[in-house]
Amino acid sequence: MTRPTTVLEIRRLVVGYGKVDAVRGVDLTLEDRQIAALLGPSGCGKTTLLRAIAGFERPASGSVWLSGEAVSDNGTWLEPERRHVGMVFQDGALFPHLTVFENVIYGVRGRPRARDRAVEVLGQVRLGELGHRFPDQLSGGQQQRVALARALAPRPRIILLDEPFANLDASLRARVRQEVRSILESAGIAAILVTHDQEEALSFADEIMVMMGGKIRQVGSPEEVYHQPVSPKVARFLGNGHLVPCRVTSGRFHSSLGEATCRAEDGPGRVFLRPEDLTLRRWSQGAGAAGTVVARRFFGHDVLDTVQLADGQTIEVRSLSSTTVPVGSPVRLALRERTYRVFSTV
Amino acid sequence: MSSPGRNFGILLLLVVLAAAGCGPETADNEAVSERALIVYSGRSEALVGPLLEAFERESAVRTEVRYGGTSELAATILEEAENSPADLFLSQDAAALGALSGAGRLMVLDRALLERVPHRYRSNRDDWVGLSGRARTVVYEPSRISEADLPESLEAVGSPAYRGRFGVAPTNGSFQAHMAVYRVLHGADALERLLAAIAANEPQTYPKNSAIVEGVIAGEIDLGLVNHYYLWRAKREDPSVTARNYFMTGPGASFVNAAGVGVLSDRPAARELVTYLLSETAQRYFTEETYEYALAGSVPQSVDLPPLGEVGSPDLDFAEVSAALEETLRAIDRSGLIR
Amino acid sequence: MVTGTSLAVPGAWARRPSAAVCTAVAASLTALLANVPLVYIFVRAVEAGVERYADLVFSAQTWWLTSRSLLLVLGVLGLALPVAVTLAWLVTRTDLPGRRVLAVVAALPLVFPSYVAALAWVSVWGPRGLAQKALAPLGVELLPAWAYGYPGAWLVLSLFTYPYAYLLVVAALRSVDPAAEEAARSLGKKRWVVFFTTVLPQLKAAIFSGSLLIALYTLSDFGAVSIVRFNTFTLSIYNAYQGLFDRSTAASLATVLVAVTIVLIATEGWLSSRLRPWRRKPTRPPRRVRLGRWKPLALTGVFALLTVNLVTPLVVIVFWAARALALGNPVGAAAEAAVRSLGVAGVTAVVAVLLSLPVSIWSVRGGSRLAGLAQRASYSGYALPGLVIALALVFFATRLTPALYQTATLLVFAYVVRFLPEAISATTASLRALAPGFEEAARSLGNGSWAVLRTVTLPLIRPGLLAGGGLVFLTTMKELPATLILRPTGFDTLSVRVWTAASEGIYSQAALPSLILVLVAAVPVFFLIVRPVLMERS
Repeated sequence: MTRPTTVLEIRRLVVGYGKVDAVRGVDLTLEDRQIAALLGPSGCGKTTLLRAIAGFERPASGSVWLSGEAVSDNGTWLEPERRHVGMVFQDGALFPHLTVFENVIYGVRGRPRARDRAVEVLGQVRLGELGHRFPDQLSGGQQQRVALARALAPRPRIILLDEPFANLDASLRARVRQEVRSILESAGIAAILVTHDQEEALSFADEIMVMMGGKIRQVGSPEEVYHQPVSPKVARFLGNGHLVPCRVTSGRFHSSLGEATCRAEDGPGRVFLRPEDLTLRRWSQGAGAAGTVVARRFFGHDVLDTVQLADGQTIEVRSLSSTTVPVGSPVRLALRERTYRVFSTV
Repeated sequence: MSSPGRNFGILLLLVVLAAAGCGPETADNEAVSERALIVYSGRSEALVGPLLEAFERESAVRTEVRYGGTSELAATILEEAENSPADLFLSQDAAALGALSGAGRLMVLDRALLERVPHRYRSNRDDWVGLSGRARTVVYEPSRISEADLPESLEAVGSPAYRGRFGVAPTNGSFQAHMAVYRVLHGADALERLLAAIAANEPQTYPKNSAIVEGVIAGEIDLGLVNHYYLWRAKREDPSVTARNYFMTGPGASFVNAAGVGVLSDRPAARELVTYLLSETAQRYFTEETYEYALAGSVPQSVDLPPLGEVGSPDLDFAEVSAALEETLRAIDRSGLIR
Repeated sequence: MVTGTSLAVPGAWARRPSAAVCTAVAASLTALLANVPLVYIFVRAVEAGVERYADLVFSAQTWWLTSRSLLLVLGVLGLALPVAVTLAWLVTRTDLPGRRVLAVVAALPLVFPSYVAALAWVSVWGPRGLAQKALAPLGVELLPAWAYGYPGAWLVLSLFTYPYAYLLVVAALRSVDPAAEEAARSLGKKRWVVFFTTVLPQLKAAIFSGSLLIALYTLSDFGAVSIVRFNTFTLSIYNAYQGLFDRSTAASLATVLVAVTIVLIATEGWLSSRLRPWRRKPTRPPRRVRLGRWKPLALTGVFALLTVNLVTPLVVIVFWAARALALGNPVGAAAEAAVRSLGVAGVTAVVAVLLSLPVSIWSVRGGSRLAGLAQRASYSGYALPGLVIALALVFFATRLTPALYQTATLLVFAYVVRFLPEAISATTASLRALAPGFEEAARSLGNGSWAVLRTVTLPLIRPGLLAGGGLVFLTTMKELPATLILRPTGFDTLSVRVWTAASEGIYSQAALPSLILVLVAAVPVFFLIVRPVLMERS
């Protein structure tokens, strides 16, 4: 049936709240040690899906298999506490009445060498010296590391992370994210991160599962879903850009903003161009769609110019911040060469 | 984390105290309830306690008493029905006994015993007997109102001279029984008129007789409608009290109610206690300790009171009075006396 | 008290049959037991016959009594709530001198049984009470009679019940984020406008719950209204027993009281369910308002209040008690009674808290309609006069469980039926405040429902359980009518001793047990109710 290396397998899962189905037929598979992100806008059903895996929601139909064992299937239902699923909550949900050490040992109490295990995982998250503290004496990042240690302690089959970085300061978020990622890697455990933040998903996971409207729309590597989105909706959700009409002829598309390689059959279509797919050149310096820079936003590492084309529409273009094109300059746009995805016009 | 721990400690302490408090107590009670005579007493412990102790010494019968309000205990006995553990009920007034008698809860007593008490102070079904008498009277403070200015009859209480100066206890059983007597004697319409006149005269209302007497002593009011013995009790506590009692004349102006006893089980010990309560010792105790009228035998009064026969109490059947009570209460409600 | 479904976690409780079913069964049984008095009332009211019942219940007298009682409830709320909110604001948000001590002291009038409070009140403020005696040199011969009747009942009940709302409002004020107030002020609003537009709305939940407690207390009070002579519904039910020994009339009238209670509880539930839960934690302690030239006025107000509802009753009781001791009144009996009171009140508190758990857990975590119904049904005994509950238990115990009749067990049962709602509302409130994430985290770590309850839920809601238990303990200590009827023979508690002495009109003898009662009750009130609220880390 399931190969031994498959940690999680979900088939045609439907989870409903009353009349509304939050999860409407989801299939997905996760291999051992794989770190995936379940990415989608709020209300897309991703948290419900995660809670169904953990056993906090009872599906209407479909099945959930963990390491080859059916935990939720027709007539089969395993309580959350018997699934061996580690969970890290948005706010950490550390038990405020227990110390850090007591929190971590909570899931392994009564097992042989429980203390050793607690010390070990606290070491893994590099908080070994804070075991005596109470959760409210820790910073937000430390709290999330304790939450992770607590989830790891019973050696679960998989770790589920429910928006764990959402409550952290922006400055802290990227660092904690990388710490968590490397802890998961060194623990050698499969994990699913639920998030609505594209940047977070893309930088954290090996595999992105894009979920919208209760269904998984696309599964793939971060590069794949970012650059080869399956639909304009998915494309838009992953980042800004412009949906431009084009015509494909023998493996290349042609649009008002330029032409490039694509994988599509000949005929009319639409192509999604991101700001970094475009380059700016001074008016005098070559061919391409002509326009004028009307606004410029500086981000340090790069710069976002707003260009107004001759036909009135505005296009955003991302460049390295070292390129300087003053506002008001006449410019020409060009397309970077890569393989684009062209959507049918229907 | 130490303070929640301490809180739990307190809770634990309470539980331990609880175990200490009720555990042995109940076990003890159950052990003795086999033979003790169970008495429900609507009369207070201070009064009944010494009397029952004396009885225990004389008779070797053990008693166990539940004290409570007369009407609450009567209601309890009615709810207990056939399962009542009570052997005997000591009541503050005849109405409660009448209610139990009406519900068939009381045992018939020996004629010989009953005949020690004038027939008007006992049940016409021979199932309860009065022990002591309490007369309705007017308590007043001579320094603020002279005897000559006191109302001669109940109707006179409605006169403008007393506006705002007198106290009544319209929710108290003794007042209600008094009004029921008035209704039996004079009819429903007369009662309505009387109550309306009293209510219109801005009386001060009190929850009970003792409060009226205190009100008179404290000067809140100048006179009030009460039972006669509260004044004497107040004088015992404070001999400097100058207030006095006054007995109005006319039919129904005064009335002697009976505190009495009814028997609920056929245990001989219960009858033994009734006999004791009607004995000269017990009757003397009533006159000396509560300043009530002795109803059995010929025990002299301990304080200056008109003889029982001279108090203007009509010769009425208490059952008739009890029957009139419901309509009387409605009339009192309608009168607006109870605010 | 709310049965919102927003916090329901279908996952956490409904899943495991054993725990979920046990909870539901225990909750249903508790609700059924709590409704024993209702069955009795029904039996007795039916006995009266439909015609007589309709005559009684739809009479002008009934309407009049109902409106009097409701008028009293409204009046009491109208005074108690502003007092509670003002006091809470003064001690938490201003630089009032001595606010820490005052914060505790302001909650203490809770310890006076209403009959003791009313007796002390009347003896001081009666037309020729102590106050008049103090003013006599100034030529005051008689104080106006406002110590009695509606004004008396209104003032006594308001001044002695506001702590129910005060404690809740203090806790709520602590959790209001001052940022919103600052935002409002930066938008150019005056401080008092800010209070009414941003702070007060956030206190609604606390005010609603407090109002319900105060309203039900007022409806079912007998001690105070009988002493200040204001005829309410409860008093008239007593009077029906008093004169007529008419259980059917009393029961028929009690059905009206039950109906009024249901309306009050439903209203509170409806009002609270429309509130959005306020989740934001305060980012920092609020800046205290400088009272400035208002300081003397505020201090005078607080002291005047506490003089009336704390100092004078205490002084009166101490004065009487001292006289009693001088007259050689035995302390031994009172001490024995104190041990009994502590015992039954302690057991009642523990039982009530234990029973409140399934009811609250089922309604908060289960979220079904039935669960909400069970929770509300458990409130039915709360507004019934103690006498009615006592007679109901006499009726059932003598017929069904004669072995339990007149035992401490049945007495505790009566107390639980009367005061269970106090435990339920505290437990429910703390369960609602507990994010379900804790319980889910514990389950995902391999713990079953029972283990989660034991290791996570109970420790986290412990302050709420203790507060609920403390409240039940306190009200049980003060309870009189059911105690008188149901206690084992000779089982004198403090409140019984107070009654015994007072019924003989000997206040000095009532004073000693009153004093002990008040002092003993003050201990758990301080440790379990007042301190956790006031000493919370801010």
